[in-house]
Amino acid sequence: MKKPSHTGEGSGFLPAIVITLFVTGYLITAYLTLDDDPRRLPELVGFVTLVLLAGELFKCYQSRSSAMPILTTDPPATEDEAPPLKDIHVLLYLVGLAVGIYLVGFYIAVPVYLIAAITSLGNQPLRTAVWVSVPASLGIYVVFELMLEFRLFHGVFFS
Amino acid sequence: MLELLLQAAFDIFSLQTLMFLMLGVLVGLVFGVIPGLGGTTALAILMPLTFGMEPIDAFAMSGGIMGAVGAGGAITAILLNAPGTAPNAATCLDGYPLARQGRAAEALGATSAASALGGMFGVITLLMVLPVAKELILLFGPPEFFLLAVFGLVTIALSDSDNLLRGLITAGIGLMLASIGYDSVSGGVRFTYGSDYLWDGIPLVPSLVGLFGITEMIRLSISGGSVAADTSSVHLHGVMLGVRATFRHWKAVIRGSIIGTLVGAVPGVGGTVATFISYSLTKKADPHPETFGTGRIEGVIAPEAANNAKDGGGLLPTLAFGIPGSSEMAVFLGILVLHGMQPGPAMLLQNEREIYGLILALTFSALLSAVVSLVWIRWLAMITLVKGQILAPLVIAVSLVGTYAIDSRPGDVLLAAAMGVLGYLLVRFNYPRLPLVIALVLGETAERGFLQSMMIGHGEWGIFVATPTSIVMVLLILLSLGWSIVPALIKIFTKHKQGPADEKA
Amino acid sequence: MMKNTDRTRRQFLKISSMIPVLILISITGCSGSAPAGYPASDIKIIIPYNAGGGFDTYVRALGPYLEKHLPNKINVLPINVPGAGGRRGASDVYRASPDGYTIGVFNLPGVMLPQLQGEDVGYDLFKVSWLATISIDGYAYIVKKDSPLDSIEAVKQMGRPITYGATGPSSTSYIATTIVSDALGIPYEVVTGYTGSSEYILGVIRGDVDAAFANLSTVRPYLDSGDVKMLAIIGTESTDPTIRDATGLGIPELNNISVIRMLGAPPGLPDDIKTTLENALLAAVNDPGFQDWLKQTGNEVHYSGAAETTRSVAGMAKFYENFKQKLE
Repeated sequence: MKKPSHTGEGSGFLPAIVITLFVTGYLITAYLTLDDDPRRLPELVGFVTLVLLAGELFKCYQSRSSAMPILTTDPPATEDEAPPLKDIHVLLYLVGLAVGIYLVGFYIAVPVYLIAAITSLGNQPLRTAVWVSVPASLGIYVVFELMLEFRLFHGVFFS
Repeated sequence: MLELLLQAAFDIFSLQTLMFLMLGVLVGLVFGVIPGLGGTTALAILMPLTFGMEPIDAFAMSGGIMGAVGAGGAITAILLNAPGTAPNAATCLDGYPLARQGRAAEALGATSAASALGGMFGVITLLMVLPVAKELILLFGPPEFFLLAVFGLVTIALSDSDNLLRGLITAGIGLMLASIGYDSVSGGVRFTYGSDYLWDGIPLVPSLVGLFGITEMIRLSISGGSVAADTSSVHLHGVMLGVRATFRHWKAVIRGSIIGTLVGAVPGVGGTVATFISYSLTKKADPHPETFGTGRIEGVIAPEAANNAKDGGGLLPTLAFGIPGSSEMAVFLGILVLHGMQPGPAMLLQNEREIYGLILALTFSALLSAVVSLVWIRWLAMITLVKGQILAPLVIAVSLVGTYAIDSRPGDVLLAAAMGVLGYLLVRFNYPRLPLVIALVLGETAERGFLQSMMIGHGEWGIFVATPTSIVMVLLILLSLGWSIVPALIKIFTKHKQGPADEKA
Repeated sequence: MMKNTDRTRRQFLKISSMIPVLILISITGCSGSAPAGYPASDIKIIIPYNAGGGFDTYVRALGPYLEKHLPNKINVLPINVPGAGGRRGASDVYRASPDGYTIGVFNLPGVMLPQLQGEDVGYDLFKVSWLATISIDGYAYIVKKDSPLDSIEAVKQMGRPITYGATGPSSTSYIATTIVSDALGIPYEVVTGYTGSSEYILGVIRGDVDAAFANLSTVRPYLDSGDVKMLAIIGTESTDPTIRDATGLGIPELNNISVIRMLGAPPGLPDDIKTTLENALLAAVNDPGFQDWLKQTGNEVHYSGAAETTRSVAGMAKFYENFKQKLE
C-alpha cells in the first residue's frame, strides 16, 4: 500500500490546533477537579504534549511559508478520488448507528443502518442492500442470542 | 518430566479429550474472528460448562481456545484491518496492506505457521522455566514494571521515523486517555465527569476495534473498491507461499516467540504489548524499516508468533502464583479453581499431570488451528474481493455487536464508534495511531510503577537501578532511544548544514 | 315463545359454566406474588467481579447446589458485572425488580464505605433484602519468610515506620491496615496502587514492602508454601496459640474487620420468595458436594441466615462510622 501522497504540510495546522485545544481543556479540567497527587501525571503529560505541539505548529508554519500558502484544510485532490464531503457522510452514518443502537437497540438500528449505508452511501441497488441486511441481521440474532445466549441491547427507550 | 509428558499425552489422546480440544479450537477460531470477542469471552462463556467435566477435558478445551483465538483474530486483522482480538492489532499493520495487494492468502498462511511455531516455542520455554518460575516472577517489582512500560512506550512511539514528533504527540494523547478513571495509587477519580462508565477507565478492546477495524472500514467506504485494491491480482494459491515464508524468516519467528514469551510472562502487561514490541523490534532490526507498513511478510510473522508464545509465557505467573498474566489467564484461573485446584506453588506439585496435559493441549491447539484455518483460507481470502460499500457497513455493524458482547455495556458501543472516528481523523491528518494504542495500554502501568517505586524507594531515583533486572531495562531503553533518535538528529544536523546555504542563495 | 326461553337458557348455562372457571383462575392468580410455581424460570445471580476473579469461582461452584435445592428444574445463571470496586454489581442488583429472579453478591465493607461517605452509589444497603452471609474472610498480618520481624512486638520496636502494601486508598485492605496499625500504635507508611492482593503479597515476598494485611483465603497458598509467615490474624479467631488474634492483641473491638460476602436481593422482596431462597441457600451450603469442593480448594464457608445478616449489616455500618475520618 502506498503511503498517502500528502504528508500533512499545509493541512497540518487544523489538527495541531484542535489537539492543542483538547490538551488545554484537559489541563484546565485537571486543575479544577483534581487534588495534588492524582494531578501529577496529567500535568506532566499535558505540558510535555503542549511543548510537542508547539514544535509541530512551528514545523507547519515553517513548511507553509516555504510552499504555496494553503490556508485551507481541504483534502488534497490527489489522495482518493472521493467526492469531497464523503468522509463526513460516512462518519455521520457511523455516529447515527452508534446512537441508534444506544437508543433503540441493535435489532432496529443495525438493519436500518445496513440498508441506508449500502444504498445511499454505497450507491448499491436496494435489492443488494436487502439481500445483505436481512441475512446479516438474522445471523447476528442466531449467533448471539440463540447460540451464545447474549441478550443484545434493546436500547434506552425500550429497557 | 518426560514420563509425566508421556502420561499426559496418553490423557490427551483419548477420544473424548481430543473432542474437547477440537471444540475449543473451533470456538476459539470463531471468537477470534469476531472483533470484540476473544479468548477471555470464550473462556468465560464456556466456564460454567466445564463444571461437570473432568479436569483434563476442561484443560484441553481451554488450551484449544487459547491457542486458536489468536489465529482467528489474525484472519480479520489481515482481511479487514479489524483485529479480532487486541493482540492482533499489530498484525493489521502489514497484514492488511498485504491483503490490499491481493496477497491475503499468503499472509494468512504465514500467520498460521507463525502461530503454530510461536505457540510451541512458548510452551517449550514454559516447560523449561517452570521449575524456576517463582524466582523469575519475583524479578519484576514496581521499578521494573515502570521501566518495562517506558521501554514499550519508547520503542513504539518512536517507531515511525518519518513522524517522530507526531508519534510523540499521539502517545501523549494516549497517556491522557489512559489517565481517565479511578487511580488506585492516589485514590483519585480523574476526568470521568461523574460517569460510571468511565470509572474503570477507557476499555482497551472497544478502543482497538474502533481505532483499527472501524477506521479502516470508514476509509474503505470512502475510497470505494474492495479491500484488495487490484482484484485481478488476488492470489488464492499463496497459502503455501506464506507458510514457506515463515520458515524462511525464522529469525522473525524466534524474535517474536522470545518477546511473546517474556512479555506474556509479566503479569498485567498482556498480549497486545507483546505483539507490538515484537513488531517494532523486528522492524528496527531490518535493513529497510521504512518498508514496514507496506506489506512486509515479516511484519505479520513476528507479531503472530509472539501472540501464541504469550500463552506459554502467561501461564508462568498464573500457574506458579495464581497471578494471571492477562485477563484470559484470569478466567482460566477461575476454571482451575472451579475444578478444585488452587494455583500456586502447591499446585505445581500436586497437579503436575494435569498441567502437562494443558501444556500439550496448547501445543496441539496451535497446530490444529493452523491446519483448520489453512483449509478455509482460500475462501476467507475471497472476502477481500467483496465490494467495500457492502463489506464496510457489515463489518462495522458486526464489530459493534461483538464489542457490546464483551461486557454488555452500551457505552462500549459508543466508545468503539468514537474511536473509529478518532482513528479516521488521525489517519487522515497523518498522525500515527500506534503510539496512542500503546500509551493507552501501558499508561496505567507506567504511572503506577513510577509512583509506587517512589513510595518504596522513599523518593530516591536510585530505586530504578537497584536490581540487575532494572539495570538491564534501563540499558534497553537507552539503546532503543539511541536507535531512533540518533539517525533523526543526524538528519536534522545535515539539513541544517545545507539549509543556511540554501537560504543565502 | 319456546324459542326465546331456550335461547335464554342456553345463554344462562354458558355463563354459569364460565363461573367455576373464573373462580379457579382468580384463585390461582390471587395466591400472592409467589405462585406455587416459584421459581418458574432461571434465576440470575450477579457477581461483582470479573470472571475467574475474587469470589467468582465460589459462586459458580455454589450455583449447581443452589439449583439442586430449589424447587422446579431451573438454572442459576451467574452473571459477571465487574467494575467500580463491586459497586456496579451492587447497584445492578438493587435496581432489579424484586421478583426473586435477580439476586447478587455484595462485598462488604467494600460497597458500604462509599455509601457511608455519602457518595451517590445507586443502592442503599439498609434496604437490600438480605438472604444470607456466605463467607467471612479475615486478614492475616504477613511478612516474608526470612523477615527479622517475628511478632507484633518486634514490629513496634523497629525504630522506623513499617511499610505496608495495599491496593487503593479506599480499599478494605487499606482500611484494615490503617485502623489496626493505629490501634496498635505502630508507625507506618502504606504503598498503595497494587492491582490486587496477590500483587502486594508478592511485594512482601520480594521485599518492596515489609508487611501487609491480606485476606486469609488469598494468602493461604503462600502460607502453605512457606513464602510468607503470619504474625497475627484479624477478623477471625486464631486457632494457633503462637498467632495472636484481635483479642490476643488487646484490640477485641477490631475483631469485626474482615471481608464479608453476602447474598442479597432487591428491596421489597416478598417474604415467601425470601424464605424459599434462604432455605435453598442453607441446604446448598451444607450439601456434601459443596463441602467437598470447599475442602479441596481450601475455601471456607461462614453462613448466617437472612435475619442475622440484616443485623450484621447495621452493626457493620455503626462500626465503620467511627472511622469515617480515616476514609476521607
